[in-house]
Amino acid sequence: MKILVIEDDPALREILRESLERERYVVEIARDYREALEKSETYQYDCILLDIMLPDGNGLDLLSRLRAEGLQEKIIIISARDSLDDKVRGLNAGADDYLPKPFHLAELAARVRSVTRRGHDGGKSAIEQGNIRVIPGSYQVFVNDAEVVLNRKEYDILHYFMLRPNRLLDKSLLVEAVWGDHVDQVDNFDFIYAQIKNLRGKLRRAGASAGIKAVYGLGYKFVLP
Amino acid sequence: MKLCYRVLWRLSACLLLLALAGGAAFYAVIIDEIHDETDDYLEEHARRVITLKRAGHDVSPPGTWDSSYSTREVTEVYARGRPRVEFLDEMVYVDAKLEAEPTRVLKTIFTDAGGRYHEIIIRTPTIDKDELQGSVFYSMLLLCCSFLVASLLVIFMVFSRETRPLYTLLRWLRSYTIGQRRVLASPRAMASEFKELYRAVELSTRKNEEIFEQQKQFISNAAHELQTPLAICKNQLELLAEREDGERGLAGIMKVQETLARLIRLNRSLLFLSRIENGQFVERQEVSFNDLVRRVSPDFGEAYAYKRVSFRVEERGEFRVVMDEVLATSLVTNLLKNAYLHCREGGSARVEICRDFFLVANSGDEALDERVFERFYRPASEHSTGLGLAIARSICRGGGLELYYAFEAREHRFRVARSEVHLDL
Repeated sequence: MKILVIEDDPALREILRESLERERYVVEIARDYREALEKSETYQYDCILLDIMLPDGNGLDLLSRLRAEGLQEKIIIISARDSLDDKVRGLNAGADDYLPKPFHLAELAARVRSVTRRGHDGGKSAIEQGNIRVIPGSYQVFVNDAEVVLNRKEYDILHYFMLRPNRLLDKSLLVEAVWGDHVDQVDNFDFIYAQIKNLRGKLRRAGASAGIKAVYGLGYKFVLP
Repeated sequence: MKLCYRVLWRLSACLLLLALAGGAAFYAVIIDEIHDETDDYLEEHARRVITLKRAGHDVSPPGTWDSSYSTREVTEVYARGRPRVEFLDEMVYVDAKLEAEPTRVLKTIFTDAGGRYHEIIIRTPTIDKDELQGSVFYSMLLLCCSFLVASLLVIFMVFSRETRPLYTLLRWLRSYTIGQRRVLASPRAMASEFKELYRAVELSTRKNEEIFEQQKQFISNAAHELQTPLAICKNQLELLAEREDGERGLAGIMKVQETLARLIRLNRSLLFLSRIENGQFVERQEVSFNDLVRRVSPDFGEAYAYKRVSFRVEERGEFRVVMDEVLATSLVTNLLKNAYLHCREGGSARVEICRDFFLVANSGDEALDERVFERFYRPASEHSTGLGLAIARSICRGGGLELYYAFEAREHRFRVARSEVHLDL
């Protein structure tokens, strides 16, 4: 799959390239509005990452223009502005997702995966990793076709991991994603350990091929066989 | 005391004093005039009697009390010891009236044709000074009082009318909050001092608005500008962590990441605060704080389970407010987080909800001062941005609520209630 990264900051551009290439995407770069317009009109991409503030133009204008020209590519806005207003404006202009800076690379990878998958079934179909299958529509989890009953938090954690396999996810990221923004800045992560321990136990007993691995004090990795 | 009453009070005191002095002077002038007239009459009378006496006529005094006189011969020594003319006020008993009446008396010495000394005493009834004093006093009092009341009424009316712009301005200032851009409508006709005052107020508020606007813009821009470099640092660290295998390297990366996460949170909170203050949350709907507490409190319970804080919710009514739900959630979570964060291990926290207020309390040892709502009153640390309560207060102010702090019964209490609008002066 081919991704166009439109970003004026060279450091961030290189980071995005490296991270996405690691996910086995082919990455193309556009440094400004003009180059972005040229590339997106000339080539086809599976997904475009679009920074709103470009040196020679506004990303939103570019987005509207591309949509007006009938471009069907999936577009994710990455922006330093993260108010609801900006988000709504971006989505109204035809973006598929909106990711405020600063973001986690794992989050970006998950969003890219999500919008490109959505192209086919609207994101409702099952997510499969190894012999684990998660069905987001009904919150069901199957291991080798046998249903595993999880509580709400365990399900949320597993779902989060399933979309971000083999990435190092730090604890605070997991807390914010599963418990919500308001439970940031906790000084003790025992409550995640407890949930993850239970989830691990349930997956192991069901014979799951993938598992959750703790990475030192840093966080967790969902490791596929 | 209101300016108007103060002025009236002072004025009435001064006017009363002036009226009293005026009354006294009036009385003195009248008495003086009466004496003058009476004395002229007495002198004239005396002159006539003396002339007749000198001419050798026997002038027998009339028997009535109202114009009587008497003469007697006196020695030269006595005559020389007396003043030439002497006027006296005397009370004389009048048989016809059965009471003493005031009379004016003239005493003088004269010599007859034979060179003998005589003293003549002439009396004439005069006015009753006590009566006059009384009537002058009462009429003056009546006059003064009615004059005073009438003039105070007029002054009050004129004054109220003239000071109306002042009260308009005061009302405006009272309801004014910086950043709301409310226009100060100046009345058409007013005293030049008020015009100047209006101009000064307008100028100073405009200047303040500008500074406020610049400051807001600066915070917002600075926070936005920081987002990209923060993203770069964060993502570079993530890439490093993915490449790194050694425990020591990862531990180092983790430490930097934690610090960076703090920075990102701080920046995000600043942005949030500036967005609240810019009034960018406008999706108003009715929000039930009871529902909000039920929704978010279990998460805090889990996250802070290690602190063994006993938490309870007392619902005695439903607190409903029309406001942006994002803000309401942030308000509740900030207060709850504050309670958990600053509660000591094994302490207690509680939420009390009534129809009129929403209260979050946690056990504590000593009262915090009123700067508790200021930004960074508690310095930012790894567990707190130091902005939570500032955010909570900003949310309240923008949403017609008021956030109060009190330390009572060994509890820090943060109470959210609808703000009462005091506009009457």
